[in-house]
Amino acid sequence: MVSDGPIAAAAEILEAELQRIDDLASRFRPDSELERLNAAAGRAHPVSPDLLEAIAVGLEVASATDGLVDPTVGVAVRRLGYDRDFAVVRAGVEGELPAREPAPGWRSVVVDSHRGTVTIPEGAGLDLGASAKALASDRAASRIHRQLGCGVLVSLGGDVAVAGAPPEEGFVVGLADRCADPSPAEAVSIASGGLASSGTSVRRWRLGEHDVHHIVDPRTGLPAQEHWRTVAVAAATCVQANAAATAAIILGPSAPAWLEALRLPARLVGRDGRVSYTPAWPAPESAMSAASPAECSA
Amino acid sequence: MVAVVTVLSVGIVAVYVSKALPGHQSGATATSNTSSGAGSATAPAASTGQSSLNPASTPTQSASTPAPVTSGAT
Repeated sequence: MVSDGPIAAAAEILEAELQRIDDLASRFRPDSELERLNAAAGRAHPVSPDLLEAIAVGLEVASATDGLVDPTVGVAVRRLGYDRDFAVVRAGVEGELPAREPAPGWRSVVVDSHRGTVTIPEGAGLDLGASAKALASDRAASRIHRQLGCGVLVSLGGDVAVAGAPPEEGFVVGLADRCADPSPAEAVSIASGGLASSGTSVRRWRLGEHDVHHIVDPRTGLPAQEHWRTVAVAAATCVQANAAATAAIILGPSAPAWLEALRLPARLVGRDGRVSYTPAWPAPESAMSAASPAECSA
Repeated sequence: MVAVVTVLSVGIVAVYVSKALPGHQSGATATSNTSSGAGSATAPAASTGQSSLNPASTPTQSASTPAPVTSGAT
């Protein structure tokens, strides 16, 4: 039987990790280390080992997705009005849809790991939103397992990471198209790695007369075309799962073939609600009837 | 048995302790690396050109038990 001890200790570790990632990578706090780096665009800026790691992971995600998930979309995201907490943005912001303008590109970021500096192009800005939370899930799960010796699942707004010995049936995760959906259509269990969903239906807002969402295509600097409403992917880590899910949203119609080539289990929900799967995804067992929806950040 | 708790309204953590309790490792030193080794402060993966996306080491299974939810909120 699980005492209060392990879960309380695990919660404490997760809380510390959440605070750490917020201090490091929040776009909404001018005192975050990332915002101080963005303010220094155009010159080499010293960063902590933790931010260097988070940026390295963001660049790795960009490399692994052929630049589809690119951390240099920071300025593009701000041009869309997403420059403050989403609780404020969701009410709508004034403005016009900006002109098409590709992001500077992840290859323009210079990381000097020996000097501990990062240089981003003048006028550019980094947004680690596509990787930092997933990285926090991976890190927290790993730390909790190492420190407490138990199996663990960590979910941050739907970015799920597991570590250690799982229950016999694995860690079961429900799949919902919308935040706090009381009746997710499907559930899967995972015993290692991560599971993450990306979607366009939750974080969206009005920009003047336009309806926009938060997944920016770095090739245009504009919200990705909406072919898929939600994509869920399981992978070796939560960072990889989230990267693949976000890349699939941006890829649109060719996403299933891309995911299949990577042998990644994926569930894709089209704008019309039609569900597609890659061959590696397990056949659905039955609909869930009494799920416990998680809190989420939307 | 699995115990679950919500943290700061955005995080959920569930722990599982099997009947044969694994050794308590509270003395273990936490590191800043993820279990995947994805990225490091000294050797950014982006500079290696070897980044990839890989399936988990264990297959994803279908399930029907009540569970935390991933919803595409991110």
